[in-house]
Amino acid sequence: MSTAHGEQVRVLEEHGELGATHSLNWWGMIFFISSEALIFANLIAAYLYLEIRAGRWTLPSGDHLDVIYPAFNTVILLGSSVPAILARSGIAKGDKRRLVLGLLGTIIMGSVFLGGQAYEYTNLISQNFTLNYKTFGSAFFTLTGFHGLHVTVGLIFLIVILIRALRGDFTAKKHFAVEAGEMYWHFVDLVWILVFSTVYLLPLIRG
Amino acid sequence: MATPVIGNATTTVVRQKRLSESYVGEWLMTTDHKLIGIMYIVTGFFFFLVGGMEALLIRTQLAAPDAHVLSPQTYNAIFTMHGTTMIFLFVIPVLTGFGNYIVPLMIGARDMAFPRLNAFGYWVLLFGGIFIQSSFLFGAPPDGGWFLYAPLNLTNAGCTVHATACTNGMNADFWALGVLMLGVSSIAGSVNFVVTILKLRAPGMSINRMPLFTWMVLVTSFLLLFALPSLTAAAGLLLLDRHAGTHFYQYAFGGDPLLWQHLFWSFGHPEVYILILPVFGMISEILPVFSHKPIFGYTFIAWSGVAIGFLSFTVWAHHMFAVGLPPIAQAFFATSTTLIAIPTAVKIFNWIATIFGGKISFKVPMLFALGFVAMFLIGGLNGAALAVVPFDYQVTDTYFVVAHLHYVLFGGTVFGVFAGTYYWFPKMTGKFLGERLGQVQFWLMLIGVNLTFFPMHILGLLGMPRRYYTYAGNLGWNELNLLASIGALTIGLAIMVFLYNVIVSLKNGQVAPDDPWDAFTLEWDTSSPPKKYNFLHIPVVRSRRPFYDKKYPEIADWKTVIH
Amino acid sequence: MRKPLFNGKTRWQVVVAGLLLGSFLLTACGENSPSILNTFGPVAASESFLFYVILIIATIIFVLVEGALIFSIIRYRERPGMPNPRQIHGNLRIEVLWTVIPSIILFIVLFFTIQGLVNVATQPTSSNTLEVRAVGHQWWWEFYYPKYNITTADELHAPVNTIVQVDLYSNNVIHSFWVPALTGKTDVIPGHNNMRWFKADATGTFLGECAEYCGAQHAHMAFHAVIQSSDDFNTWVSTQQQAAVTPSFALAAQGKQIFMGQCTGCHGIVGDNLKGYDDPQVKCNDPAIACLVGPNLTHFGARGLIAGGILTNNRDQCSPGADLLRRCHLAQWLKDPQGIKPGNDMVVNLTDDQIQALVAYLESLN
Ligand code: HEA
Ligand code: HEA
Ligand code: HEC
Ligand code: CUA
Ligand SMILES: [Cu+2]
Repeated sequence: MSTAHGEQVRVLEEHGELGATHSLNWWGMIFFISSEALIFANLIAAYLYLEIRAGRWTLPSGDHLDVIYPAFNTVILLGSSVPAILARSGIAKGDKRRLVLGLLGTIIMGSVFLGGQAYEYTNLISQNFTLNYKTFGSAFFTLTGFHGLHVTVGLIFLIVILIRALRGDFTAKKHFAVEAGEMYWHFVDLVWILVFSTVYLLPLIRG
Repeated sequence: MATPVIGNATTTVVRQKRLSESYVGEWLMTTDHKLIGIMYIVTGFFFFLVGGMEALLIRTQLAAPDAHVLSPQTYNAIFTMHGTTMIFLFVIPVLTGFGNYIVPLMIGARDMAFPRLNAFGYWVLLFGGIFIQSSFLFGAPPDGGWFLYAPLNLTNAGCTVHATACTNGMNADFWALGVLMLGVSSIAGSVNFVVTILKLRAPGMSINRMPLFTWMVLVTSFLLLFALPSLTAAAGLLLLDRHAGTHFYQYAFGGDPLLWQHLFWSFGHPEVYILILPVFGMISEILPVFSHKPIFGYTFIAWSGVAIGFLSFTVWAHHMFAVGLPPIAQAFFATSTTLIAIPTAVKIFNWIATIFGGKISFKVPMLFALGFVAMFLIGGLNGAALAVVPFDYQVTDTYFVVAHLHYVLFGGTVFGVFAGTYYWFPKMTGKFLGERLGQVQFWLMLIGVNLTFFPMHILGLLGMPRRYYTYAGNLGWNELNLLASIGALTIGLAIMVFLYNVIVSLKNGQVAPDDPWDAFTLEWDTSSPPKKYNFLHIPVVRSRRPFYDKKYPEIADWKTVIH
Repeated sequence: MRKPLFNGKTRWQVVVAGLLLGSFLLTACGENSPSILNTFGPVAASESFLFYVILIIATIIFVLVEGALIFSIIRYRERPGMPNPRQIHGNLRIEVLWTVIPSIILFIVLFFTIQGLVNVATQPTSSNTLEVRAVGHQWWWEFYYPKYNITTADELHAPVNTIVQVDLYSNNVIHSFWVPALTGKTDVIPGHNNMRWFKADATGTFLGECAEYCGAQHAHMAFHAVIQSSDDFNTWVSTQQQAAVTPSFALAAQGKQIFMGQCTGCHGIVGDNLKGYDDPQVKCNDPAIACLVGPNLTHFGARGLIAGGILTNNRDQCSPGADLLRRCHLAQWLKDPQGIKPGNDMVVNLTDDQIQALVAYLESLN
């Protein structure tokens, strides 16, 4: 943040007009994430559009996608938000140990999710269900893969934060990167709920 | 009085000049919103000339029937690049530039919220722009039209069951990658605008005291944030279809070309309001100043902008009336399109009410602003005609639509941009743009625009489809096309006058005082051009016309009006 | 500032002159135009009716609003010694007024819109509806009549005063089916089997144009809608149903041979290389079947247009002779299809003698 508007933030704070709780960066992150979320919304809309036009989507074997395994994976991903919260609330109190442990926990759980997704992919591909298996394959791998990409980006982000945390870059006052990492991670989680519901749960309801 | 400290006072040590201190380096490394703003504006105008030359090529080819100036392939690339350049590389950058320069000054801020992100946005835009244009050098300019419909944008293999001429070359890739980059730039810019406007307004400038230009930039930024994802998704899926073997748009494999249209237009329609809302804001700043009256119906202008923003997400399929949607869906989109005309009408009426009863001084910015209202009205009315679905069946994809889009984009956006340019040029450079030359430019442009684009309505009614590289001589289209081409030359002349004016004025134009127009808003309460930190003291705002209050304390708005 | 720079009168003159000029050109030069206002059937008529509705409303609004603007500009221009105007910030009642009034007008327009929409969408049921399949190719139109099992290109024949239902197919890119005098556009989209109906209430030949950008030669994808009396139409159908007649003179017979040798990869002539007509919709949507890329030429000699209307088929100029290539469009087409229509799919290399023979043969097919 340039010093020039550091001055301005100060004046605004003096006048009590800077809704004190959140930093500019926090707001920036919010709007960035909401735009990102809309990409998912568009992909989901495309997914549903093609699915409706196709009538009924099945694997080459004629079955639906297996939902038990990804459900398990979902639980892990959602669970990984907990250590992320711990990490941030830890550093907010100046507890660097909790920060490191929390980050580690999130990273491990996130990696398990990614590994699980990779396993699921190999499994499906071995059944000849690939990116170019009709529109189903295209839509499935694109949507879940795009989410996987976000998980990967999130993980890299968290690893960088972890390294910086180990170097002692963060303090109770100054740790926006941690907050941003946590926000991004929650976003990745929340979006997964939508993706999971669209891809795995909806066909169950439709029968 | 203590001098306010700008930045951390550093002890001055004798050291070598850094790159950022040389003239070129200052521009390259800057994070100052004003320099970045100017870079955006200059880049935008540069691409305006590129797009304009493409337009002149189009008009040369169409001046007479059966002409052979351009081969069909070249013509198709030229009109595609004309539309793409004008929309993505001229209007958006120029408007972003004005927003960058003016908004922080208007709201009494020292800079944008994220200065480095701001610079990043500019450089990505420049890079993306050069990338798209470089397609000409590779002999693969995009040639599928500015909305690049599927399946024409696919490779031959993905396009059809049997061999067909789709887009095997890199042409579509240049387009898709290019707009993805421009999207990144716009997202960066929009996040920045939203946070700046929401969080960095001077003390006392509540949301309903914000200048209307700032209002419209805010709405526009939200539109970009929420509309661009559709384009990102559309272009991403296109690249996958072209290179990774997916089938989103490939009908032979169960995909659907219409998916592209839905995705594209759910970006594309908000996009056209992205191209006009900031201009609405400029007009709402300029008309009152030169009428010596406050804007009429501030609240209504502001909130009608918000209404337009919301509604613009619900009308996309009015670009798809001929694709065979069920009648009920067409009726829905006709209704939403009709609704969106209402807030636009409200704005027009309020503008007229603003000048009504005023004391109008016809400086060049005002000429362009009034020209804007007159021309945009025509574009709006024929837009409303296009929303009459059965009539649209006849005129969609004809020159009637070309007429509509140029009346709103040229008669609207471009006139507004020139109004803004003449208005803020003294602030940005400390020099006036020549008044006489400005008048010449205005009248040439007004005549040129009507000469070029009015005949296109009639061409549309006479059944001339758009995107035809040539036409037969016996269809009654010759005279009108010739007229349009003459008009384009007239516009070209006007633009030359403008360029000349800029050069002459920069060199030895009349020096502008800080407040040359007796204006109302905070940017005029700084020096011309403003200092690096904008304001020595962050101003405190008590009404919608803070600078007016300061100049006329006895009749200050905050004493006489309750907001 | 002394001189009134913004002269309202000049603008009016420009506008009025523009309108006059416009209507003048509309009537004077528009005679051959495929004008949307010169309609010959209920669909196009209800579409152009709506044009007049919106034209009248928009003109009134245009005059009023532009008038108010120009009035204010003239009346309130700055004059020397003029005091500062009253600082008026708004007026709620007026705001409501000018929100409600345009809304009412717009909803009246919307009412007409939806009424017209339904009108155009509902195809009247009629026992003698003629069904035609129109297939958009790059860049020409093929028409197939399932009931009569015949195929033509560049020409859609239909009887007058009959409901014609056009089923629209494409196996390539998107095209748009449009006959301004008869009906507005309906897009021809792969995978969406759209339909368009119309009814012509006069005989005549009407220009049809492709109205969705479809690649290099989008500008040359025209066809003729030939509306005939039902007798003429029936005669036409029965000739079309016949196979090509074996040529009676030597030059044409030679042409037939060349055709069988060089052209059958892309073209079909019933009686020569084809047994009968195929439904192009069926044929061209199956990757397993080799779909002919060129038009069916069985009755080429009877057609008015060549290759998407880029040339007319001027048969009377096509009698054999040394200057054939100067006179006869078909000969020119065969000589250099890529020069005439750059980018199209026909590539041939013929000697002038071969062209003489082919022209004689093809023009004899009527
Ligand atoms: C600045 C950009 C801009 C703006 C502001 C608009 C404004 C509007 N546009 Fe336009 N439009 C484009 C840019 C824009 N458009 C472009 C670029 C295309 C073509 C894309 C392409 O195909 O390449 C297009 C195409 C387009 C189509 C598709 C045409 C087709 O392809 O078949 C339609 C159809 O409904 C439409 C409608 C409208 C309407 C109803 C408005 C309304 O917002 C207008 C509202 C204003 C008024 C109506 C005037 C003021 C009102 C009054 C004075 C009140 C009383 C009025 C009445 C009762 C009528 N536009
Ligand atoms: C902001 C947007 C914008 C602007 C300003 C313009 C400006 C112009 N447009 Fe454009 N136009 C579009 C947006 C715009 N257009 C879009 C979106 C399309 C649809 C594309 C598609 O179908 O895909 C389109 C399509 C389009 C067509 C239809 C093509 C077709 O369908 O086949 C035509 C035809 O006449 C046309 C003409 C013009 C003309 C004559 C101008 C003129 O007003 C241009 C005036 C500018 C100049 C004349 C430049 C002046 C430059 C000089 C004098 C040179 C000086 C040089 C140096 C110093 C180096 N435009
Ligand atoms: C490689 C494919 C190909 C070959 C070989 C070919 N044509 Fe064509 N022909 C086409 C295509 C495709 C068109 C339609 C072009 C268009 O309108 O874009 C066409 C159009 C025509 C037309 C105009 C038909 C109409 O109804 O408009 C004639 C006549 C014709 N070809 C004759 C011939 C003759 C004679 C030969 C052989 C000497 C031949 N063609 C060889 C592909 C071919
Ligand atoms: Cu077919 Cu345009
Ligand atoms: Cu639109």
